[in-house]
Amino acid sequence: MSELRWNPLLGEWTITATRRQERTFLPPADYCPLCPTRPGAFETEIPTPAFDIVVFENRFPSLQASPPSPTVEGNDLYPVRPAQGVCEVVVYTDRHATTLAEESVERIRRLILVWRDRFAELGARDEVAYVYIFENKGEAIGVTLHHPHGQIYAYPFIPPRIARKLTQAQRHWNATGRDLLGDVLAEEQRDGRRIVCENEAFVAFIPFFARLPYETLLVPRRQVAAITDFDAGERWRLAEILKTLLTGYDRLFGFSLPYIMALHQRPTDGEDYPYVRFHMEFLPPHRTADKLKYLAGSESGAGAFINDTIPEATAPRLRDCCAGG
Amino acid sequence: MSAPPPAPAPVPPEPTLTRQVVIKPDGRRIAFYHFEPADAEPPPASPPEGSRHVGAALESAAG
Repeated sequence: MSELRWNPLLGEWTITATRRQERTFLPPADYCPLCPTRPGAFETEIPTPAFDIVVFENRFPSLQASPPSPTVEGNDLYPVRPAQGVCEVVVYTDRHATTLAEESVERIRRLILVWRDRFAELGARDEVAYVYIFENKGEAIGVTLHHPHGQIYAYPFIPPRIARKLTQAQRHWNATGRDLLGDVLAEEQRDGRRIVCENEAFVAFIPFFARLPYETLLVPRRQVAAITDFDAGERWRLAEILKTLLTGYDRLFGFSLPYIMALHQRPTDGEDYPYVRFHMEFLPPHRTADKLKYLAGSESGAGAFINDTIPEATAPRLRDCCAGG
Repeated sequence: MSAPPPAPAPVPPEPTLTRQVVIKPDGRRIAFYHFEPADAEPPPASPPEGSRHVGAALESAAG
């Protein structure tokens, strides 16, 4: 059963996807469904003995190109829609025991090229309003498979947190003629204390308003709205700074740091979004080596985040780790 | 007067991406991405699975 149920209290869609209860949960390495299919071994999701980067439709999708009809009848208070869209898995490499941080800049660039291809293809579909590329890494985030991989959700609507950010950006654009994230970047550069790493094309910083101790935003110096708009030089610089930032995260506490990595881009619903600036968001749940930030009463019940740290104190530590310290 | 920043490292030529799409027996689509030239860099040495450490032992109380 999979459908969209409208939440009139928050004005947003909930996706039901009951088949996901059956999905593979932390299998042993010998039975990883994201490894290549070795001769004589069990057949994985990928029917070749070696591969570079592979993308396939999720076996347990929340959204489907041809979704079933909703199992319940909607009404004016509770509208219901088919869960139309696409859920894809992006397998970064055929090697099981690695992470994106451990990969070469060249391999990260190749992943960026794949992200670009997927954004262009999925975004061109009439039913897709927003292409969301992300990675959940680490059991602390809830991953069910350790093989290095990310995901892509092509939604038939603009997800609510993204819609809220778009509204803020549009207001700022209408009031000033400038893109909001560009002004945030300029303020972070003027202040300087929260910058973590930077290169010719990108800047990473723990924002003034960070909700998590080591949350970072990775922002291009040039206003581009989507990954398809970068030139070859910018794609290489993006790969370089991703390598620097992710390596720094792994040095932070001396272990491979769990995180959510999210790519934010313009919607693909056919409207104009001159105020959007591509950015990537990293949300590590660790506040110390052995303590997590939980989304508890204030965060989950009221939507008000409480950060136990200030970015002016956490950014220098992460900056040192990114610099190799 | 401070020294000018070092010149950025050159950008290596970008590989060409090709996509080969296959339909799985259950009807799902799988795309194999190939790059030309192939990645000449050797894969990084990874620790054996048993010694990997993603995350840490965590406190039990919410905080």
